[in-house]
Amino acid sequence: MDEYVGGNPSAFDELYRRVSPKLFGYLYRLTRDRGVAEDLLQTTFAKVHRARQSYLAGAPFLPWVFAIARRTFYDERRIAKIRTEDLSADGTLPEPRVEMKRVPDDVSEALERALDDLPEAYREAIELTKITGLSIAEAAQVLGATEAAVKLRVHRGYNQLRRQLESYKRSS
Amino acid sequence: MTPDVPRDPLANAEWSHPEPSARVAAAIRNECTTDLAPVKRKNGRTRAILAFAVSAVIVGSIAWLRRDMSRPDGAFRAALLGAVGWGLVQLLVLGLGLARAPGRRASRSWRIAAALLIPAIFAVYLFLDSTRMLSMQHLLQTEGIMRCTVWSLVFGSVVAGTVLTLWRRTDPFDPGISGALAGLVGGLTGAVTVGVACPNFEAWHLCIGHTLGLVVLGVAGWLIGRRWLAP
Repeated sequence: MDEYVGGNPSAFDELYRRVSPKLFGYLYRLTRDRGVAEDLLQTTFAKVHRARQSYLAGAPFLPWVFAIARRTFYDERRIAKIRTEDLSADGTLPEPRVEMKRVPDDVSEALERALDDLPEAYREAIELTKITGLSIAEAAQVLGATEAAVKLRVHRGYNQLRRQLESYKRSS
Repeated sequence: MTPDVPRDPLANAEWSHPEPSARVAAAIRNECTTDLAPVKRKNGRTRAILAFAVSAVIVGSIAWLRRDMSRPDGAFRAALLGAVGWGLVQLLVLGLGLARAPGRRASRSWRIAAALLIPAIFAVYLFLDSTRMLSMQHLLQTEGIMRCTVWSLVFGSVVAGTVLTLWRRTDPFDPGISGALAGLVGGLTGAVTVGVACPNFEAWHLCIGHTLGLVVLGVAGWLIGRRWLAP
């Protein structure tokens, strides 16, 4: 990051190579929409670029960029919520789509679905620690929570995931 | 015979790791590296020194201009000593709460406690420093409460604005708390400045007129910081 601030483009390439897969995976799981996740990824890196002058040396980079991404996601979600609903052609509100849940094809899909079914707080904690690989301390910084709270969320979320996976294996 | 240990079904879980498209990667690279030039950064210590210097200039200037004003014996010296003491508190807040990089600062709990408790402790300090206390019904007649509140807000806003500007876009973790601390630093300057200038040592006047600005700037700093200090 220091080299990037110093004006070295290849430092940015290295930064992008190391960070973008984890960051995109995190954003994709938050949004479950590839297009939206890519937009958020672009916005996040634009903010990183604008904020490079104010990046204080010594700040842990991975939690720093994940915190920016998380804030970007929640800001966009808040803006999307306050927009009025689009009416259909005859001026009525669109009917909500009822999604038929089909049986997962394999364990991976069952895992992803089980992750989606977790409460948001547990899901984020698991995504940051078990999937992305941040430490508990780093995840706590990103989430704005204490380390004890994050540990508890990971523990409870993990137990729920385990139960879901066992139930899937029994039924299949 | 050893019992079977149940295996953790998540132990070797294979999570998918989607990647962004090449088109998006190219767009990001283009945005972040076109005309890339080195940028000069101030480290946290330099920012803290600049903020404290602005505060010291304001307090020192007002103290100098009001040094010959008539007041009880020893009151001016007491006010100056108080200014030095609260200046040290300001340095502590700047040093532990803001100067270090986000993620390396004092704990979130400490920073929240500082933002909430320091104004309360300051009000108690002023109450103990007062020399008389009018009854509640005289509260609104207490001379100059509004004047001191306004002046403390004016001086405090200069310093709070300086701190918020110096720390702009630095804190993606807790920008609201950082903003509250910036407001607190400014508020302390405002309160101390009117403290060295004001000859009134009535308790209500001190606790309201000299402290209200501190509370207002702390809350304003929190509200502004949530947007201004986040990248």
